[in-house]
Amino acid sequence: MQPEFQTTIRPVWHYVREIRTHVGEALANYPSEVRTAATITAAELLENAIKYGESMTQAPSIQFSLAVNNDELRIETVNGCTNPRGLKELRDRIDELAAARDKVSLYLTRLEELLARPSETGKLGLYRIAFEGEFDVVCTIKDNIVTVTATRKIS
Amino acid sequence: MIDWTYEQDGLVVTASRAGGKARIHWSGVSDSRSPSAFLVPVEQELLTHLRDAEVTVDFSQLEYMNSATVAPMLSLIKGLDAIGKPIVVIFSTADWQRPHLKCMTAVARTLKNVTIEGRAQQ
Repeated sequence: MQPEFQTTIRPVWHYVREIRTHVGEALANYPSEVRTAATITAAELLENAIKYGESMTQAPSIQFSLAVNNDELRIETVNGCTNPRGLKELRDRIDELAAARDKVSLYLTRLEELLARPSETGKLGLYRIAFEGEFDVVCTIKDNIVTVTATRKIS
Repeated sequence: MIDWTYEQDGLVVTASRAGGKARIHWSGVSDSRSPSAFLVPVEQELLTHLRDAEVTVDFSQLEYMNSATVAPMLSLIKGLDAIGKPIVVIFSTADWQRPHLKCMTAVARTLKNVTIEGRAQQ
């Protein structure tokens, strides 16, 4: 049976750790590297959904799903967001990752920025999903509903 | 030997000093929403306690950290580098820490006194 896990959560931080644990358990029979990548990706996507998402009528909560289809692992979050600046930044960062031939360079550049300016924070989660997790990330935004989907091959 | 322990929501940072040598050990999980709120004051205290010491910072037993932990982690390493004594930073060679080991090795080239080491998970 292919592992699958779906849930809906309120934007409360402790759910990140809970879901990270569930993801690890759902992928217990998969290689450690895949499990680690998935738990990191799930956690980082959820953190973003909680930090930058908004509860709306059309999307009162955050939806999370994990699925394995054939050789592809798919992790997805769906949440509401009406902040145009936040939405643009999300799109820009995902477009930047999609265009980057060398994702590690983006990650290293951001680390160097953080080292130079330690008071800065953030803007590392999506890079981490792409570099450490080796996931491809896409997002769709329709009627202020943001769907972020991360996929990768298992083998 | 003098010891200090800082703990919050699953993250434990312990430090010890014997003469001119000191060790900072991270364990548990760092996944809070704002790790800097806890770690920045810890860093400030540690930099005071460990002034003039050669320091080893061991992250190898840390089970997980979120991306928000990276900034305060770098801030600590940079602050220790400014002490002017040799600093050794240890990451595990296993799983999620392996990329951090590689990246920190690259980034630490800009720091004068920091050496990054990998350690097999025990």
